Amino acid sequence: MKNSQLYKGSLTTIIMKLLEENGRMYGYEITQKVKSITKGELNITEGALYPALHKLEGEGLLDVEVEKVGNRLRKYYKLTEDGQKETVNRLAELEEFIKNMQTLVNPKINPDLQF
Amino acid sequence: MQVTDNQIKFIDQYLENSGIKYLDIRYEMTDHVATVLEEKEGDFYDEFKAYMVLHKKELLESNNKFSKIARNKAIKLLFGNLLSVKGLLITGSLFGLSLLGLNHMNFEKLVYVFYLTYFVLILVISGFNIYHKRTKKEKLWSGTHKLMEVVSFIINGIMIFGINTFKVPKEKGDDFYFIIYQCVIVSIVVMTIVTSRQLMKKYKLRYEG
Repeated sequence: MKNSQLYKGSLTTIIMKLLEENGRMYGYEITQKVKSITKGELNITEGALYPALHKLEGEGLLDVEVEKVGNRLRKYYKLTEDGQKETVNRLAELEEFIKNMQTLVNPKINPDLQF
Repeated sequence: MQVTDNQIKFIDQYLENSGIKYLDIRYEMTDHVATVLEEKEGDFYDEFKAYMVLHKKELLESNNKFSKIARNKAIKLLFGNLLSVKGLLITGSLFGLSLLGLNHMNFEKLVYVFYLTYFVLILVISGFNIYHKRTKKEKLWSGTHKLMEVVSFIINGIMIFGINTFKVPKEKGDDFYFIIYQCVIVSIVVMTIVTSRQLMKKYKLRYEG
C-alpha cells in the first residue's frame, strides 16, 4: 500500500465505507475499486486487505456469503447491523482526524489556531 | 485469459504445497489469484509465476494472520459454550455425579474413573481423526483445526507436566477442589468436541451448501 504507515490505520474504515456504498464485495473487487477511485494512487495489497477483512469478520462487523462463480468459490463480504453502526462512527472519527490534520499541516486554514 | 478447471486445481495445489493447509483460506486465495490472472493476456503459467514472485510472501503472511484470527474466534466460541446453560449443566452434572459416585466408591476409584473418562474422550477424538485421514475425508478448516490444536496442547501439557492431575489429594479438604478441577477439564474436552462440530457444520453450510 502506498505510504502504508499513513493509510494503515484507515484501511478498515475505507473497506467499511466501500461496503456501505456497494452492498457486498469480494476481496479483489475492493482492491480494484480503491485503485479506480484514487486513480491508481492507492494500491491495497493482499497482505493488508485480507487480514483486515478477516479481523472485521471476527469482530462481527462483517458477514460472509460464499457463491460459486464459474469454476470456483467466491467469498463476498457485507456489513452486519453492528457493522453499519460502526461505519458511521468510524467515518465520523476519520473526518475529525482529517480535519485536525489539515489544521495542523496547514494552520492558515483555521484562524483560531494562529498565534 | 479464461482460467480453466485444471488451472484452478493447479493454483489450489500450489497454495497447499506452499503451506496454506486450510481449505477455507485456500478457497479465497485461489479465487483472488485466478481473478488477477484472468485480467492478463499472456500464458497462464508465465503469468502465474510472475504473480507468485511478487505476491507469494504476502499471501503466506495473510494465511498466518487468518489462522490466528480463526483460532481466537474458535476459542471465544468455546468459552461461550462453556459458560452457556448447556456447558454449565454438563460441568454441574459431572460434579454432581462425582459426588454421588463417592457414596459408592472410594476416592482412589473415582480418580480412576476420571482417568478412564479422559482416556475414552481422547480415544474418540483420535479415532475420529484417524478414520478421516484413512478414508481421505479429512478437510482442514481453519477454526476447527486450530481449536483442536490449542486444546490438545493444553490437555497434553496437563497430562505431561501436571503429574499431580491424577494423584489423590493428601488433605481431606482438597477433595472438593480436586473434583471441581477434574470436572472443568473434562467439560473443556467435551465442549471442544461440541464446538468443533458447530464450526464444522458452519463451514460445510458456508462452503458446501
